[in-house]
Amino acid sequence: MKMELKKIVCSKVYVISLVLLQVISFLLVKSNIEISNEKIMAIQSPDIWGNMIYPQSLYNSVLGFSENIIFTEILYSIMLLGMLLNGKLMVCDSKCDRVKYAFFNTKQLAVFVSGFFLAYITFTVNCLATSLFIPAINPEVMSLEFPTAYYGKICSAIYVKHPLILLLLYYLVMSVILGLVSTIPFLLSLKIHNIVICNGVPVVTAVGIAWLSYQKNHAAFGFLIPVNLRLRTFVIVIACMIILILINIIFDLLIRRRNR
Amino acid sequence: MSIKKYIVIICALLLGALVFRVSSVNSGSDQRIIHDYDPGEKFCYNGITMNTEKIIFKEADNSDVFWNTVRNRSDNTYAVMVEMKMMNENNEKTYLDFSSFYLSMGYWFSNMDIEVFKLINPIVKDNIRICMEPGAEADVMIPFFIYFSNDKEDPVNKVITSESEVVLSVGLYPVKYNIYLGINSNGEIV
Repeated sequence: MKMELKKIVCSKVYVISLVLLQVISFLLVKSNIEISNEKIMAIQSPDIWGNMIYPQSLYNSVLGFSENIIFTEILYSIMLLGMLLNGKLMVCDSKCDRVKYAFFNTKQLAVFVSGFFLAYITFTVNCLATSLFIPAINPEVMSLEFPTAYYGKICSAIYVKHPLILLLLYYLVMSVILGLVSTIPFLLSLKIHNIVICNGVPVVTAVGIAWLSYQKNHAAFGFLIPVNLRLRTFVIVIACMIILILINIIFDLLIRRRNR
Repeated sequence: MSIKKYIVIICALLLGALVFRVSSVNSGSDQRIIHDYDPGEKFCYNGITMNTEKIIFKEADNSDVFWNTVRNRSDNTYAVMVEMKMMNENNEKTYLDFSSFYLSMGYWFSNMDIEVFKLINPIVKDNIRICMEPGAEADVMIPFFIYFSNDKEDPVNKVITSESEVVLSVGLYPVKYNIYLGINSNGEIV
């Protein structure tokens, strides 16, 4: 298990994706700091609308809880990256070494844990980085800036009273889901030795669930995400998918060329 | 000293710095104050003392001059008018704006209706502010509207229940005043 996990975690692609996600996450933190500063300026101004402005809070800035569409885009990107990268490694493994069923559980667990941590580290780093600059002010429904707190949203009552609990719970649940999704390409790779199918099926599944999220108001993968700008999210998920598949194909071609 | 020890020390220092930074960001001025007031209790906002005098629940009626004058609204429109008595206790002329007056019943909440506010309160001079001389008194009617629909699945129909208590809120940040009006959404005394 330790060896399998080390194999995935120490791979260049995993490290690069983790670093890339942290960089994007920090860019989002930066944009939130700018919004927060603008709001503070507006609150301090003598303008009569000043007392209607509610300052930016940690609970509407962090990944998954923001109304900002970019946060959701990042979330879906993490999901797709996690799936493809883990699947990629294990597909190669099954092709070259012929995975024995005796190691099936160990390998599956290693894939799950790596996918879980890819998401969890990103969430935690984003949350910590945001909390360094933006205070954790309790959600205020009347400000219209905390969509998770609206009536009808899942766990809105917990969010209003104990936002930190919901935040931690959300990160845990999301990371578990992403970890589980990561294992799909591996499972497929045991039977199908075709990299396009192995990586394509989970991506199609992800897009299908994203589409369902778009149809129903509650996102399936990010079922606590309060974002309502669903059409754009869906378009971006497809764009992410295309980009990642292209990266995948290029990666494949490079390996094939090297093997020759 | 081994490299591991250095790493542990650096991690501990970083953790300490992190805790210090987070606690300083979350301390003092960034937190807001919430004042709660019981029914009939006076409260002070920007040096102006206010007291809720009367709460009127008004259903839409097309034959009513008020509704026709105000705006064409659906039959399911419901109005809650809060009459307030105010007194300027400052030693100087004070402007008071009503932009941040909210009414909530259960999960429902709404801003006051600015157009109607200007129409029914001649005292309002510009925009949504009133100007009060030192010691001056004034009566103001603050209107809030609820738009129900015939659809049973309409969220507004769901969020207001007969037990929902009516609360007037003033301001959002850094100070919020919650004035409990002592009635439920049917206009009965709680």
